[in-house]
Amino acid sequence: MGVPFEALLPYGIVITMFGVTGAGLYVSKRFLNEGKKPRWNSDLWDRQMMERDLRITGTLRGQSSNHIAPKGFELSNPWKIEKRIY
Amino acid sequence: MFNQKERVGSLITVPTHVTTVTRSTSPFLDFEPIALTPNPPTLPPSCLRICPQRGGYAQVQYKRNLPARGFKPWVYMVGMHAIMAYGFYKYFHGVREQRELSREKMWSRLYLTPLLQAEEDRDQVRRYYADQARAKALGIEDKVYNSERFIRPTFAITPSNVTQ
Amino acid sequence: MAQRDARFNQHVLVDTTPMPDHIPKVEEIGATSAPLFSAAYFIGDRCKAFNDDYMKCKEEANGRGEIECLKEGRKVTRCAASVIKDINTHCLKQFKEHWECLENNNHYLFECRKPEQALNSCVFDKLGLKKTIPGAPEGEVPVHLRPKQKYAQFPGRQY
Repeated sequence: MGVPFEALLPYGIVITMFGVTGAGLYVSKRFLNEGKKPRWNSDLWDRQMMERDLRITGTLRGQSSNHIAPKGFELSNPWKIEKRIY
Repeated sequence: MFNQKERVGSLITVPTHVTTVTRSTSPFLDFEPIALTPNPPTLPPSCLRICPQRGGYAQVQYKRNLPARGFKPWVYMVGMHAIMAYGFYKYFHGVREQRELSREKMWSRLYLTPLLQAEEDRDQVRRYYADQARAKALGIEDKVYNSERFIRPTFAITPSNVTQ
Repeated sequence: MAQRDARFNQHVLVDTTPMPDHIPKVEEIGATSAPLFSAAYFIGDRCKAFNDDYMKCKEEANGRGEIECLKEGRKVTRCAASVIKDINTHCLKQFKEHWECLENNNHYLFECRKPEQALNSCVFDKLGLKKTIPGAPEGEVPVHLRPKQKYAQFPGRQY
């Protein structure tokens, strides 16, 4: 009592497609996060620290453990500005 | 066992008698058939339109003598409470550990706050002095806020052409 | 204070004017988020006096703390930089392992107990700084010393 193989074809397609999207998401997220796992559930502190990381290392996920900041770090703090709307 | 007088309409009462009750011994029947032996018909002649059927009605079968499956009800009750109690036990311990973890995180942030704040303050003071110097170069000697406090400016003058 | 942050901002304003000369210079800390988070308790252990002094100065300056507490702020920064420098010189390997683990695990301390244990023991041996969580309940093992971490991806024995 064998199942005809045509009945299993849709399952093969479904598994393959989910696998493709999952692997693609994994690769693209790792690529965007420089090979690390992506950050999630970030609060204001985390976001602000990541912006500070950006000022020190040049990328949001870059890390450095130097005790002295690179030259010009103390001058590079950006103030977010918006246009006056009234 | 079964003896009733049925009033049908307002015409007449017909007594029905159950004389014998036989119980089925078949294991495939889940109810007890009750056989009614009909009464001899002694209908009065005035019963013209609405009358009980001859010999009376059969008894309505309302009872299903099924065997009770499973455990006793209190066993299910106790089992449910045991599962709930175990879950709450685990949950309490999880919440306690979460509280300790958040305490650990908060204290590490508290220890880092002064140095980040000092960094930010130095930056703001630097900008403040830079603004003062620019205002002086333009010949503006005016206090924006009528306060002695240090205030991060809400309005800033931006360069007209941005180089980077 | 009465400060309105920018919404929908697309521009930033960077001011590159250096600090005027009458204010002493201090070198800023170059450690980023994960190393700072990893070293936070050691910074807190060594620099508690400076930190408290600075925060108290800010509180008592009545809104003018940004300018008046620059001296205390410099002390805070120098002290924290000294801690990070010492950890870098003495326990670089354990430190690096720990903050890389943190950075790879969404900065969750409970995912990295094993490197943390190595770092803590090394820092305690070399620098004498100890990680203690204030306010933790008495009579319980502190959460960073528990062998099992309920919320870690591997909740079993950590070390």
